[in-house]
Amino acid sequence: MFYRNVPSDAIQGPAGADMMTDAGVAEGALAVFGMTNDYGAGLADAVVDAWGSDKLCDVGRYDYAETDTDFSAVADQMAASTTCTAVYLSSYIADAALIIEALNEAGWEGHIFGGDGPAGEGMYDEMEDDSLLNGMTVTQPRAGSSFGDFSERYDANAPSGGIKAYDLTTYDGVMMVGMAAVNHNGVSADAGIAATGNGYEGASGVINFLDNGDIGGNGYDICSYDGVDQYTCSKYWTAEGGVATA
Amino acid sequence: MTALEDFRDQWSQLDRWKRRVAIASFFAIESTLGLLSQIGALNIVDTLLFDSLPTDLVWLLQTFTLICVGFGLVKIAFDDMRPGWLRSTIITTSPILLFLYILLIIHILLLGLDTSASVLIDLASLGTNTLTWSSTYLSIAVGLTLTYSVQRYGNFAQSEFFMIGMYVGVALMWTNWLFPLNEIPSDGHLSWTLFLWMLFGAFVLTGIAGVIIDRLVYRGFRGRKASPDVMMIASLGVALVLRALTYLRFGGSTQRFVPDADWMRGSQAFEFPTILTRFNLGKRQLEPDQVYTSLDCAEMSSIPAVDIITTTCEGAAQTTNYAYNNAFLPIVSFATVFILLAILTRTRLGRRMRAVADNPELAASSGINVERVHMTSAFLSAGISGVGGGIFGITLLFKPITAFSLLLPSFAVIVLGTIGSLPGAIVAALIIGFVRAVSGPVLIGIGNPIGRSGYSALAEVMPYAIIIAILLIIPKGIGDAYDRWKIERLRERARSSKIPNHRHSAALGLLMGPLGAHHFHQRRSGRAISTLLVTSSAFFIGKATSFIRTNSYPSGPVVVPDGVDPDIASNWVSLIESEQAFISLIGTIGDVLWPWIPLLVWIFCLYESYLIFNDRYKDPIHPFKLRYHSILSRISTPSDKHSERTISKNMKDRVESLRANADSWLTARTASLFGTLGKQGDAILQKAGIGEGRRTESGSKAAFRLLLALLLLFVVWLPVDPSSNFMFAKTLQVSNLVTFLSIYLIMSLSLNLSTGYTGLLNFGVIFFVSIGAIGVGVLTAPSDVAGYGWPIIPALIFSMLVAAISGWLLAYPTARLRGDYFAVITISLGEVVRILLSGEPLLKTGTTQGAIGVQRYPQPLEVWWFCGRGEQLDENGVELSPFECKNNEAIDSIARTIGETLSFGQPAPYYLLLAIIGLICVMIVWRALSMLYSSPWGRILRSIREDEDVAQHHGHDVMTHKAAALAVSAAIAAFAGALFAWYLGSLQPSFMQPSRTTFLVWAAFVIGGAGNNRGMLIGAMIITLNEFVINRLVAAQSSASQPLHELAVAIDTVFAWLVTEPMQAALLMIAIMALAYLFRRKAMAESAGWIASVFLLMVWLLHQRSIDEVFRTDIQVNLAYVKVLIIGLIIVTSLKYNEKGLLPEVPYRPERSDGGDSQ
Repeated sequence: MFYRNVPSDAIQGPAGADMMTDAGVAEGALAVFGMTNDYGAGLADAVVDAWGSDKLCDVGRYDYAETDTDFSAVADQMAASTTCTAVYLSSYIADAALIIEALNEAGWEGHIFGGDGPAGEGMYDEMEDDSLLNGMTVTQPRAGSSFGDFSERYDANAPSGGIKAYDLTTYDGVMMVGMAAVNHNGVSADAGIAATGNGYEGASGVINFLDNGDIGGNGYDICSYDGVDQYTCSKYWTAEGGVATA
Repeated sequence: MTALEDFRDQWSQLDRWKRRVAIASFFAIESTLGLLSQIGALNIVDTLLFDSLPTDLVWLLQTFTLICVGFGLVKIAFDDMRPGWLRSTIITTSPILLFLYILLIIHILLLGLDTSASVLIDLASLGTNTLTWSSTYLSIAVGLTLTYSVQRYGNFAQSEFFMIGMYVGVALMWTNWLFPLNEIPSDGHLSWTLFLWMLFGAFVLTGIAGVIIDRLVYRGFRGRKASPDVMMIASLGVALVLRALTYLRFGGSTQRFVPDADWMRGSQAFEFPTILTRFNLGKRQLEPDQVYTSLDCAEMSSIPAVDIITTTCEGAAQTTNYAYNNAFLPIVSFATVFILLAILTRTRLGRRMRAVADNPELAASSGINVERVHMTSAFLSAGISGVGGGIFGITLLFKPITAFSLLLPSFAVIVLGTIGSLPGAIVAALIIGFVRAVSGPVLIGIGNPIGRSGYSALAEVMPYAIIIAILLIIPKGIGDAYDRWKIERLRERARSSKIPNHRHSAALGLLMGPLGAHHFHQRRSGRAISTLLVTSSAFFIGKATSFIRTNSYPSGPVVVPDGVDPDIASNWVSLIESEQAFISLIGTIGDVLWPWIPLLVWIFCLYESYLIFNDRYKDPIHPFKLRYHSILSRISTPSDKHSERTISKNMKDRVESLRANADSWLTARTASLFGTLGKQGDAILQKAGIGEGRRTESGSKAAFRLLLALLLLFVVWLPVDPSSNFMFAKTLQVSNLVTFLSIYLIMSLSLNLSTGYTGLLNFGVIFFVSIGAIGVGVLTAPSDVAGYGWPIIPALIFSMLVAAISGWLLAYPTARLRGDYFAVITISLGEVVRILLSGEPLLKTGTTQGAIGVQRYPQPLEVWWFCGRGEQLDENGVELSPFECKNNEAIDSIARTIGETLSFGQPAPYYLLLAIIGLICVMIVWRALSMLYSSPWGRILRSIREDEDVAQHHGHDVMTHKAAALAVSAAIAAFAGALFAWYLGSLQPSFMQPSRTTFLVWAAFVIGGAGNNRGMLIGAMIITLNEFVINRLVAAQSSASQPLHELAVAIDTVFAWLVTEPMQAALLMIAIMALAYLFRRKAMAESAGWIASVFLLMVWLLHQRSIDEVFRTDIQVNLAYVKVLIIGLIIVTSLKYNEKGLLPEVPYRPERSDGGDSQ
């Protein structure tokens, strides 16, 4: 049995689609780029399903290997296209940076969106030209109320460039495994973790495992880059309420 | 006579071209009908099989057939058309014709699928991408061409020189004196210092690396007159060593060479006007209220087949950007190639190299120092690839493995261009670059409509497909065709009595003298090219220097951007000031060269035109040339005498006497020791039964038993994690090891059949392995994850059959090719499958649509192992998975029984069962092969390997036997592939990386001994143990409680010392060199000297920053790459010192009955 305290990308897909609709992306204007590993393909599937595979632009969906570093061909296609004015990147930070630079070199000007892969201030470290990030909008898991003092200790001591949301969830994951070993000694790890994840008050919020080991989560923050050094999350998305202003 | 026999007679009497056209037409019509109306032959087969074939597979095969028809028509044009303008036109324009033909095929496919696609091509972008790709391939291809010409073997390590160039750039970027250029933020000006240093450094340092490798490795092979195939295999080992060393020192994360922040700005680009072309393929009907919007936003009531646009929606001209950091790649690459061409054709060195390439013995007898020519050739070929790599490093992120992906397309370039022909390589690079560049837009455009959004990955396949097509269609290449055309033209000229009109020539000289037009007209092409070279060089240098001056820091005070560290700022300022002075100088030189040199040349050409006009032409430069050569001779000859004079005779005699004394002292002290050791060794070998040597049956068996015993002791010794249950951990370890060994042993046995016994240089083991692995995986995966739910045994048999048929079909067109071509084709096939695994949905199983890989397939007997006989259900009536059964203590199974018996504390691992299955598989294959080898067929194979012509004369159909051998070898490899799939549990393209499979198998083959199955077992055991010992060390590296931790720490300490104290390492090597020189151990002295020079270069080039950037925290060796290093070293040292392997083939001697005469 696998457990995870980060919400499934099956939820992030609709969040991404709503984010782009809220930003004014028209039907038939979106391209989706996704890595071909499980993360990239899974998130890209979810976004395309939520957006509508018949509502993509000329370039449509573009899948690439995690190890690819040359995006000039697809960037040229995007630049030459008259319909593709937005792109969603289901990628990690490094390849997102390469894609953005390639798009800029090819002369494409449009709105860039992404999932939690390229989310965070770390994108600035990855870019040769930070100004290219201006207006890029991404989703990242929304932290609930934080319990314990880890969040404050993180703010005081953590180096820059990290993604706080993930660091909090990682901390909770490690703590929960330890708690399971201590508090549920004698039962299997499976049973111990399931028991621990029943109302666990962690640094990333309250964790309640579902039957399949996932969590429902607290929704997604919608964050943007200003192309200088700022990364602000001025909106958020929930399954119940859609996009709202923070 | 029956109608059938009639038909056969008539058919065989037809001209070859007519037969070929008929066959091509049949397949074209059949496939077209299949695509459009689903009534082709494959559709009929599918109907007969109750529609069980995947629909995608049917139309993919039909599309592939049509593409093959296109190539077939090209082959007919090459082979069967009469020479003339039509044939020449078709051949010259064949790349464009094939491109249009493929668009037509796609159109037919899309019509059949009732869908449409747009392929959008930006012509200027296509041109620039063509230049980028072609120059990338050319950098490596040029080195390959040089090596092939002069040294006569295919160098699989050529791409590693490209890699070295990439990392030289990065290392220079990190030096203390140049890094300020990289640290300063963008200031709007390009800085050239780091860029120019990179060009120089990449060329010189990579060239030196080439020389070192040539001296350390290839010179020994040349001395032994090793065959080109042996040297090619050795180059594989060299490639692995170089790559491993680069990984160890620079890590596996991506790097990029950034000369200066401004180089990366999108605004730093050339802007070109362009034409956008959209091909609308497939369905083109609009709905009643739909309109088509063209690329310039015009609305149309119908969809044009081709939409060609030169303006944007706003009416401005369409433009495309070509970033400077990409543009310099073709400029520098082509410039270096043309410089090399000039060296080869216009200089003494070039003449010497060509002489050695033609006939080394004759060249030596003419007084040419052949070894020096080899060294120079090694320097130039490595250096040119290094420069290409250095420039390539600006264009995108790279890792050490990046360069290897360019090697095989570069082979395609030299094969298409004809091996040894530089002009051919240039043209071929442009063709293959074009293919690569145009593939991207086409695959992106058609990917989504045919349900293949990841198809853009297949652009990488195109060069491999080209290489296979070229070798089947025109194995002699373009260069050969060009040479024949030149010869024909010269013959025609010699036959023709027509003399060029001197008045016309004079007029041309007047108008276009600097282009050498008058000399071309007068048929003095050599002189014409020289004139053109001078003019064009002046032009390009002038333009380049002008560009550099315009796009660099302006003259005047240097202003430091805000927020920069003062130390860095002051270094940067001094660098920029030096750069300003340098650029001012080269700008002045450029201003002189252009336009003044062409003007001077023009004036000279006017004089020549005057002479031509008056029919008094004699080469005015000739007397100066003679003078120049005589001065050159006088300068070069005294240097030998001069070097003799610099070392006085007395000093030399004293050194020699010292060396003689040292040598005799050492010999005296060690003679008796070596003598005793030798006698004892002989006695031990006698006792072990190896006294008569390993080439006898008894000696071979005895050596095998001894080696096997040693290796088994190693297995027993291999420690496990002390914190775990020892029995369980050791069982798991040994099971893993035995399974891994079984897989690689079966692969080695397969290779031994095709290469060891039949003599085919088969580098395609992984291709056949993948057929087995992917076939079993896809066929047995459940249908809800895109599999077919077949049972395991039928899937296995089917996969082996497919592999065997592939091997058979592969043999016929390729087995006649020379060994290195066959090697290139077979390795290309493996790469094609690896790339297909990244993008072809038929080769994916799993839960997500886009994720690549073959997953969720069952493993044999796993359910029985954990769940016992009968179905195990949960409380809802759902069948339990093996994992759930394993965790359910109520279930009685064989795994649980064994676990309890052997006190594992848990059920026995599945790998134990897999190990037993593996051993059974090995025994089956071993037995089958032993029977084959001792049969008449085995003897025929050996006779074919020794001498094909003799075997043919004895009435054996060589081709059929080779095909059969390859087919059986392929089936065995597929068997190993199935086992591999079960061992891995899921398949990703990375499992097909050559360094994980093909090269490992070749290492086992080389070290074990070709032609000896027992050798294969020993070889496979060695590489298996290498894998497991290193894995053990990896676990021990970071945990003091793990066994072998001290050894891991010691390795890390030595590695850290080598990284941080290269000067000490250099001094140590120099000391060893001195001692070896003293004791007259020449080879050791030379090797130590070269290694010392490498460390000295590291002192100069690799500063503290390079350590901080790569090893962020501790300096630890990445042991995964040590595995690769060891494999590379095994291949090279085994070939160098023990070419026949540890257990060489035992010559087969048939048993004779006593008495001699036949009964």
